Amino acid sequence: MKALVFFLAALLEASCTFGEEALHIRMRRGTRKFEERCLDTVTSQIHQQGDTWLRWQDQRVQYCRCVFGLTRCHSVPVTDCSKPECYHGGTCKQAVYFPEFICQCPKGFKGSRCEISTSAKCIEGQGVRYRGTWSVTESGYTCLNWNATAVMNKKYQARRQDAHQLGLGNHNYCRNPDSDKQPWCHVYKGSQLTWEYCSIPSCSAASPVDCYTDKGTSYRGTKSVTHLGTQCLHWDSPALLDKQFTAWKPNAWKQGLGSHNYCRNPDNDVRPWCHVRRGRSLTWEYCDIPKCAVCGQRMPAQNQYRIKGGQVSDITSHPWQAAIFVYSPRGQNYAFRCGGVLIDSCWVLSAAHCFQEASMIDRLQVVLGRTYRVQNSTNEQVFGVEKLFMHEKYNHETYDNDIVLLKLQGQGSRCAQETNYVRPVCLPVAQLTLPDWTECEISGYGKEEEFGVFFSSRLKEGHVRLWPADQCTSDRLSGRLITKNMLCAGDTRELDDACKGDSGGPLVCSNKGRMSLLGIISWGDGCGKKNTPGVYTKVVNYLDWIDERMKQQMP
Amino acid sequence: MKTFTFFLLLVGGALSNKVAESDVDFGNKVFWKVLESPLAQRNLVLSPYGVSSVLRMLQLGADGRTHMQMRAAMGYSVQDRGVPHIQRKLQKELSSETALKVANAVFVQRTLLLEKVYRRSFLKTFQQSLHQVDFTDPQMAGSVINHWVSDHTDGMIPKFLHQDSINVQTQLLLLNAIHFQGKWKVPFDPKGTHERLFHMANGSTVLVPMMQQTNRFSYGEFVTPDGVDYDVIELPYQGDALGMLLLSPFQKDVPLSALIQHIDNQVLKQWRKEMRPLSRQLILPRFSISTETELNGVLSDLGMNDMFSMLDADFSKITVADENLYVSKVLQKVKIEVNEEGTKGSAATAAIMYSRMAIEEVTLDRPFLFLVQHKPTGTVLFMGQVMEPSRK
Repeated sequence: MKALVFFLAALLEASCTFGEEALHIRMRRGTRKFEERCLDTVTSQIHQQGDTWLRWQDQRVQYCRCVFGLTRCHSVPVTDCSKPECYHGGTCKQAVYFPEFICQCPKGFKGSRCEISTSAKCIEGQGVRYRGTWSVTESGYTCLNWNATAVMNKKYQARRQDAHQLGLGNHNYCRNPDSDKQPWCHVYKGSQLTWEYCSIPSCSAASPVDCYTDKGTSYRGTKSVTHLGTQCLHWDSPALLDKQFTAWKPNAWKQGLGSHNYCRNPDNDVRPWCHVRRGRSLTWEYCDIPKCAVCGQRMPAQNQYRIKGGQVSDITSHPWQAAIFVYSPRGQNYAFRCGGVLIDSCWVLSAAHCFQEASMIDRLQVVLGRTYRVQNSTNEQVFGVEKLFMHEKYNHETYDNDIVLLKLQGQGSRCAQETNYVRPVCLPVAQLTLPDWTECEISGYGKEEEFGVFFSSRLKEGHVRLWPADQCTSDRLSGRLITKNMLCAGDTRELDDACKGDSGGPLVCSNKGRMSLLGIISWGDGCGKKNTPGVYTKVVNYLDWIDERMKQQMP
Repeated sequence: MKTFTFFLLLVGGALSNKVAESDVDFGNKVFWKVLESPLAQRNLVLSPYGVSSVLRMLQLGADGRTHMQMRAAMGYSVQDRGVPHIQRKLQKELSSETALKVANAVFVQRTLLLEKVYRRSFLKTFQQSLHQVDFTDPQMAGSVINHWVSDHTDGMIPKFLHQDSINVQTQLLLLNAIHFQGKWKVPFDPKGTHERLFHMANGSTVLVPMMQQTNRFSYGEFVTPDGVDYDVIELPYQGDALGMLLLSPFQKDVPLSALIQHIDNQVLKQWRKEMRPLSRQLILPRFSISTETELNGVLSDLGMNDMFSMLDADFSKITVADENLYVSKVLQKVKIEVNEEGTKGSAATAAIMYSRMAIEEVTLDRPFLFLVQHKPTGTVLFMGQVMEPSRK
């Protein structure tokens, strides 16, 4: 009996789909046919003459029929469903002697397939995925039930074969089954059956950035095309019934799987993917979603012990630290030159004084992700330099404007891949000033003392405090000029300071939970001398300069 | 009038270049020749300027084929128009370099009657008289000569001649003694001097004190026609007129001779043209080299063999009294010291000292060549090789 109904409905649906697909209009069609209706007072659902359904009544499952406007129910034995029917981890029960099933929903979900989220208070994007309970239109009309007899000959109603995939069911909540600009529903205006948008609030004012972090297991964006351009299958597509990751699994909701075809990573793969149909076979493909640039975040520091002039550190605590090498024909190797700071996938800041030779761009090598200065590691990423922007007003006597911007050689706008070992730092927000004596951090592979023979073999970090501008004066720095583009930072314990080989590296301070680049290591009078701060290029003065150059290089 | 002066200066300049350039080429030839001897594997310093200077004194008295040979080897004749003037000018300029002590002299047997013309033009050209001693008493003569050298080098070279250097047959002796202890324009900070390994040509290593200085040095990378890559870095002396050029091949197994053969006046000009001020950390061993060279063989090899021959030498311009006058010995003693010392409180405030970059190192921890050049005239005062720096 059910199978027959289904079949008819499918035929009807098919013709409707073909007839209206291109137009996307909902219009009144045919004439209304009188039928007795039943209202199930337990579930508040409307049923048509002859319908059969299951319902929960006092921990027992009842089998009900709609007979000439009367709901007739009796308890029936149930068993687990033979195939999944319930969304959001709902438990599916099937009557032993009837084909009907019923879902027992987890908290926060309801509906015959647990497809309705009672906690969804806003829409993302166009609200195609919206499964909340908003049921009032813009001008205040109450929505009609999608299963109401009145809408049965509309294109979008609860009796479509794919109704549950579109979020349509025996309820009157606003939905967007046709990718309209926002959810809507059928309404009666007077005696006129029509439709109207629902003004459900948007979850975020700005459109969410469609990108993923780490491996993308937490990605909940709406990209639904694979890197090969294939359209993703819906996670609740009948074709995927025997797949391991579908909307039907108990933890589907937690994995972000549902009645949609957005890319997800439920199995801790390297990045989001989705099921696709390739020719006749079912397979899966990765999605082409960009990784989010998460700036200024890092792993907590570990195993630090103090050595002269700083503490040994790990690149994961300073994933923006770059090591810049220059090929030396004399040594026939890449000689370590300076530090640098990754500020974007393809962009590294450093100190201008590290780059005096005009012809050296093809001799440069930028290494990211290295804890040991000259030791290769599997986590490192090595780049050549495509462009070098020396500050036009750099002064090699005073070190005023000691800043340079390097564009790495990569593919398009992608160079460095974000990992725990490689991640950009945040540039300071415009006008950012932190309180005097704020504790900040410096890092680098430089020497431990001014006249030391060797550079540090391992990345080190030091803790320095921002000096008040009125104490950052030339009489503390051998009479050398201090310009407004410089800032001083030093260790009040007189332990830590930058030294030879640290130039170009970062001075970062915590700001709103992220590390911001306040300074670039520039110069100093010796290293770690008493009452003598180190001098840094004041990055906040160059935000426009950096921005202009990065924009100019946009493809 | 003014125009006239200008014209003269112009001629002087051009001539001066020619003499200096010829001297450079000649000096290099002498250096190669010296290195053909077993000395090649040892520390060595020679003064091309010194050799040319004494030979100019001698050339003034040479005649006939002897003169022709000298002229051909040296590239010019001392009697050429303007040359005496250049000689005086050069001598004057160098005498203002207080760190440089030069003693050039021709010693002639006292009993010989010297030609008036020669004595006069010698005095005029070299601003000193000819020296005459009695070589028949070699001990006395040696003592006189050593005193004279010691006096002219501020006591830095007290024993120029050994007992066997002269004998009763000696009649004409050319000597050139130079001591140089220039102070650097920027001293090396003794705190930066560390013991480091120096790799010698025979493959062994030795720990020696090496000085370091970070500065903007005049620096250049070059390649010889044979494809040997090397670099040149210049370390200026106080006063900026003198500079030490340090040369070393990039490849460890390339011998210094591969560079030496390539150096000439044109190459020196190329360096000057292409070297740029660049930040470098120069790491250089301290060294002190004293070399005593008898140049008779080398000069003969370069075509000046008549002057050493009793039969063929023609110094009739010096004296007509003795037809057999010939050069017994051409001796040079050069002493050079390289250490941290420099002008106190001089340009040590170079900005680069304050930067925190890892400056590219130029570490001279393998055999290297050095040249000390007088930049205003282009004269090469010294040329040498350091095969093994002094241990301490």
